[in-house]
Amino acid sequence: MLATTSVGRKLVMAVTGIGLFLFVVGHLAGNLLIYAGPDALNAYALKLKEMPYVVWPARLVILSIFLVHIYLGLELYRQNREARPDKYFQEETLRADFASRHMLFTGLMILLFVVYHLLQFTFHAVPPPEHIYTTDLKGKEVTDVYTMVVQGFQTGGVSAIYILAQVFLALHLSHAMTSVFETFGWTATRFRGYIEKVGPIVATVICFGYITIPLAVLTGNLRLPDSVIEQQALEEMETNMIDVMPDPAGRRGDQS
Amino acid sequence: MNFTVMVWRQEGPKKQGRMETHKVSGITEDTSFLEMLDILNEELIEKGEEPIAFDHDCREGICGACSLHINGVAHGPENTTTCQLHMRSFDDGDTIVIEPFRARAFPVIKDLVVDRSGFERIIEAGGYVSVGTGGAPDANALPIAKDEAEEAFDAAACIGCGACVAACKNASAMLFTSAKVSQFTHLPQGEPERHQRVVNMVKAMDDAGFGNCTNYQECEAVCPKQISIMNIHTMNREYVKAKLAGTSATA
Amino acid sequence: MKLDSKVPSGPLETKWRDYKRDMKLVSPNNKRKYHIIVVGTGLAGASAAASLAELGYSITAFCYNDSPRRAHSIAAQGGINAAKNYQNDNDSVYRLFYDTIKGGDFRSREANVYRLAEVSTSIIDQCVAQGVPFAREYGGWLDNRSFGGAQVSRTFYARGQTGQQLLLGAYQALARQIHAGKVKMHSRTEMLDLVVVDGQARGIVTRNLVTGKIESWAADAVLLCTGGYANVFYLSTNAKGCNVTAAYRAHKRGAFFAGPCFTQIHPTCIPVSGEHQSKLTLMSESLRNDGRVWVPKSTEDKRPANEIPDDERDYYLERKYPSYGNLAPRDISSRSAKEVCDEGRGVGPTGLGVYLDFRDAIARDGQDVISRKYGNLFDMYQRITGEDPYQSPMRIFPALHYTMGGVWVDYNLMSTIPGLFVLGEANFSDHGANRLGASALMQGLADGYFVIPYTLGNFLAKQPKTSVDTDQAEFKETERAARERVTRLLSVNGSRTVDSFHRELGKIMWEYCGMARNEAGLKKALELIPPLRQEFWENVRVLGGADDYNVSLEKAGRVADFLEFAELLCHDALDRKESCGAHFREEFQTQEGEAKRNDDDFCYVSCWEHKGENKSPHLHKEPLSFESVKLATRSYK
Ligand SMILES: Cc1cc2nc3c(=O)[nH]c(=O)nc-3n(C[C@H](O)[C@H](O)[C@H](O)COP(=O)(O)OP(=O)(O)OC[C@H]3O[C@@H](n4cnc5c(N)ncnc54)[C@H](O)[C@@H]3O)c2cc1C
Ligand code: HEM
Ligand code: FES
Repeated sequence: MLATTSVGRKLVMAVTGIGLFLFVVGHLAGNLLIYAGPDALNAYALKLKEMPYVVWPARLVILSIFLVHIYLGLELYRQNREARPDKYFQEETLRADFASRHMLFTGLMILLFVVYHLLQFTFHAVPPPEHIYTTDLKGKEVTDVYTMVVQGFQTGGVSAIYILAQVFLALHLSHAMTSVFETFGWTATRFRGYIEKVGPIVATVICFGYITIPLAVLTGNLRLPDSVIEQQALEEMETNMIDVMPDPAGRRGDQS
Repeated sequence: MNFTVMVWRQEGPKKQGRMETHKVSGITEDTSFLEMLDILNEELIEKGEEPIAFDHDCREGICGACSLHINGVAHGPENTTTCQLHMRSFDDGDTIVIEPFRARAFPVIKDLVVDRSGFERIIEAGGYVSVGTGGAPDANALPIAKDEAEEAFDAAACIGCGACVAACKNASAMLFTSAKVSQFTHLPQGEPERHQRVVNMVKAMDDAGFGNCTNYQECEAVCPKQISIMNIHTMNREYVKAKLAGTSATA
Repeated sequence: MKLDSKVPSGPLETKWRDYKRDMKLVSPNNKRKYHIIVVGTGLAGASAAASLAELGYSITAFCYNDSPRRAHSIAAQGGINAAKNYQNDNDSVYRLFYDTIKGGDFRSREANVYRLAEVSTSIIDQCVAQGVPFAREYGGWLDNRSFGGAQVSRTFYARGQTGQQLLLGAYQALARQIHAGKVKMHSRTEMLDLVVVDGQARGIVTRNLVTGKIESWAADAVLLCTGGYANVFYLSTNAKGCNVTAAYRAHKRGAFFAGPCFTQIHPTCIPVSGEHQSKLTLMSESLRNDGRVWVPKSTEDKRPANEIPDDERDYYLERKYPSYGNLAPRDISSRSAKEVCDEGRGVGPTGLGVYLDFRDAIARDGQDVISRKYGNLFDMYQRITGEDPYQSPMRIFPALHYTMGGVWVDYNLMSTIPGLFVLGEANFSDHGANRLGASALMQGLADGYFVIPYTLGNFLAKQPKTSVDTDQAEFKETERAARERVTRLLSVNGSRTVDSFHRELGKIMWEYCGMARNEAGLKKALELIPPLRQEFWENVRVLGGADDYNVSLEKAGRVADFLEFAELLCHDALDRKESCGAHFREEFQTQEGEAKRNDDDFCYVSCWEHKGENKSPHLHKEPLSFESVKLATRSYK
């Protein structure tokens, strides 16, 4: 087994990491459809839903990649700690940046976030949003993902968690996406300067891509569709009405 | 110059160690770091205390014996070997913290002396060209491009001091191991055993109890011979190739 | 006892070939049954151990370092000679042979030197096959340079780290055999004594430097490859651990010691900076190609170098040796430096230094050119001294560097104790009274790769195999003596540190038996050493125990041996009433201050026999006859 040697473990880490990275990129591309409007995003979501034979295997693959990556990450961390049982009284760091020294931490933060994220948007177990709307897409009744996202991010706390998670992801990637080149040996002295920039640049781009969405929502650049606003207003009215209408039989008339 | 020296004392392998504080005074700037310790040791002996044990031999930066972790950095502040460090690199009145190179694979023998025999096992596993004495063709029968020869040399300059392991947050020996792998990757002489070498040496490295590489680059930062981490990348690449070719470690 | 050099008969050119042809062989499946001890795994030891293991012998090897890779061979910078004639400059085996004999001032054995030159070419082949990264030209072919005043370019080099790369090559060959289980390697283990059974070397006694365990090892033959003894001078360019113990112990067990007074001094070392100085660092002699050596004319002149005008400087080498100038040979330029310092004109804080000035070279060629040529040396100088040699001249002073003397060996590299072979710097074989630059590496590897595999086999095959056991009385007795010595060192419990004795011994040796020697001085040294030795045994303080890692104890054992050996060295220097090679007796010089050799009375190798504690050693002479070369006098005016 490859993962029984140090170099092998790192190779597996890098391969799974790249797998996860591809997912992250794909996911971002999908998310960015939000700027193309509700229909685009919802249509994309529908398309995925209509291909369960693709989506489910893909999910399984990603899940196992994720589990392998996490398991090995923990394992590496343990082994690396064991490789130096007695700590230094004084230890300076000359080169290793914050990101490289906190890979496990940022990784675990990502994990936490992923769990939360799934609970929120996939299993709808954690609000906001309270309700999931449906919408009419070319005559079909579909889940209104767009609204779900915008509603979610309208809550400041949710956006904050999301943004923070992207920062962790960025930190993770800023080391990881340079490190993979080194792990595979896709380097040469004359490219070294560039390769060392790949990680930070990729990380920044990805992070920025994801973060624009909650920012756009918070700054009002991404708004709920008019139909939803109307519907919401209506609902609000209804709830208000329920509040003030304990006796539909005649009080109103009394008041007027 | 006067200094306060905090130094690790440990009576023997597996014994409990501790930091001990000493004053040294009247040191001139031209005194080397090890000579400063010599002076301290003479004073200790005169006081009836056992001198501080540390490894050293050539004292000119080439044998790789000296191995002190000074003020939190392997070989101290100057990016040379410990023996090439001089007291002018410190300020009068400084407190200097001296520890052994620490790693599971480098157990302490006494005070600042550690056992680096893990490195031996790595070289023994394949850090050579398997050519017996006597069977070599004429030296000029095999021209080698100057660039390649130079790159091989850069890797071969390793002195095996272990600073890379000491500096690595994971106590990994990748820089050491890869320098040898890389030297032979650049040379045609290394070609026939290319796959087996890298696989065997990595296994020996793991068996010796070193950590994994996280690409921190701390090793390169302290290496007194400026061995580049590009060697690690070369080794990784070689490892992938060897594995793709179906090579597995032979004992 | 009669000395027999066992030089084969026949013409010089074919001696080795013919001799090999007539050698007896050990059959392949018997080799395994022969146990060989190799003490020391520098160039000589590692190459021997690896080559013998490849042949099938069972090898046990020892070194005091924590790894064979750290032997002091690692420090050699300049290069290694070989008569390849790759440069087409009319080099040949004969020319290398002749240069080596002449360089050694005709005090070495022709046959050995010829063989050395002959196998030199195979060394380069072997090393390249091992992957030693020698310097190459753009075309990919091996590069050569001329070294140490040679008229041909025959020196192969690997940047300034030739010794390191050659040693790593040999070390790796050794590592391969360790892995194969054919060599049992014991690092951090020091040989304390030789065990002689029935007149043959059959084993050694060692101390494990980590656990303190004293142990015996039995074998069919013992190879000493333990390097040189320059540290008898305390300050030298050798590593701190270099010692004479193994060789001297063998000497005390009956091996003759040859030419101990032949000690080489290197002119371009960084001067001593103070009492704390623990070792000296060599800088390549190539610096003298562009640097000009000088001191102030007046002893009173204490101005900084740059403020001293040209007409108040004494460029003494250029003055005294107009044709060679700053490139005068090692011994001449060393002695001249000592002379001016003795006159009180030395520079630097200790007054023991002369300037090596690049001012004119920088003005002529520009700083770029100089920096390209010598950049790494300038950096090294700056790192050690804290001074910038581009701004102010370097200060240099000669230092002890190499020892030509060593355990006497015959043509087979066997000492006067049968079964005890001595290789590398530890023996006296090829360099006579002076070693040429880049020839020590060559000799160490020649001995290990290409001589001992043959001569050892011949020795073993020629006699019936007998077995010995470490339970035998001889082993027990030697072991007991070694243990007793350790106990003795630990029980003195006096007030002086080991180093202080070593330093004092070094000062005596340097003062009276250093660059220039004379009868009165040598007698003085012989007066001073015994009381110092006595004080050592009465007043040394060695703390700690016998059973753990004990640096002081380690050093004490070595210094104890130096304290005895120093006397032998001075005896030899006193006896040799001539100047030759590196041995300069002030009484024997020409009017121009040149060494005056005395071939009528001293054309022999001095071989000293140990006669017992506190007894004068007995001199045997191995006469040297020169059949192929004519004895000539060198001149560098
Ligand atoms: C600074 C410097 C530069 C030099 N430059 C050159 C050069 O450019 N060209 C050249 O040809 N020569 C050069 N020389 C000389 C040359 O390097 C040495 O003569 C040669 O390498 C000696 O090799 P060796 O194998 O005999 O001994 P070493 O390499 O000294 O090995 C001695 C071995 O013996 C072991 N040992 C010693 N004592 C004991 C003991 N009591 N018990 C157990 N083990 C023991 C040591 O651990 C070591 O393994 C230089 C020397 C110095 C010091
Ligand atoms: C979307 C999520 C993730 C992506 C895209 C990702 C990607 C990567 C990549 C590409 C690497 C580089 C491997 C190398 O050095 O060659 C890496 C390393 C690492 N990852 Fe992740 N990862 C993710 C999630 C996680 C999680 C959840 C963990 C939690 C355990 C984690 C822990 C680690 C650790 C510890 C390393 C460093 C291993 C080392 O070099 O020592 N990662 N990651
Ligand atoms: S003592 Fe040899 S490198 Fe420092």
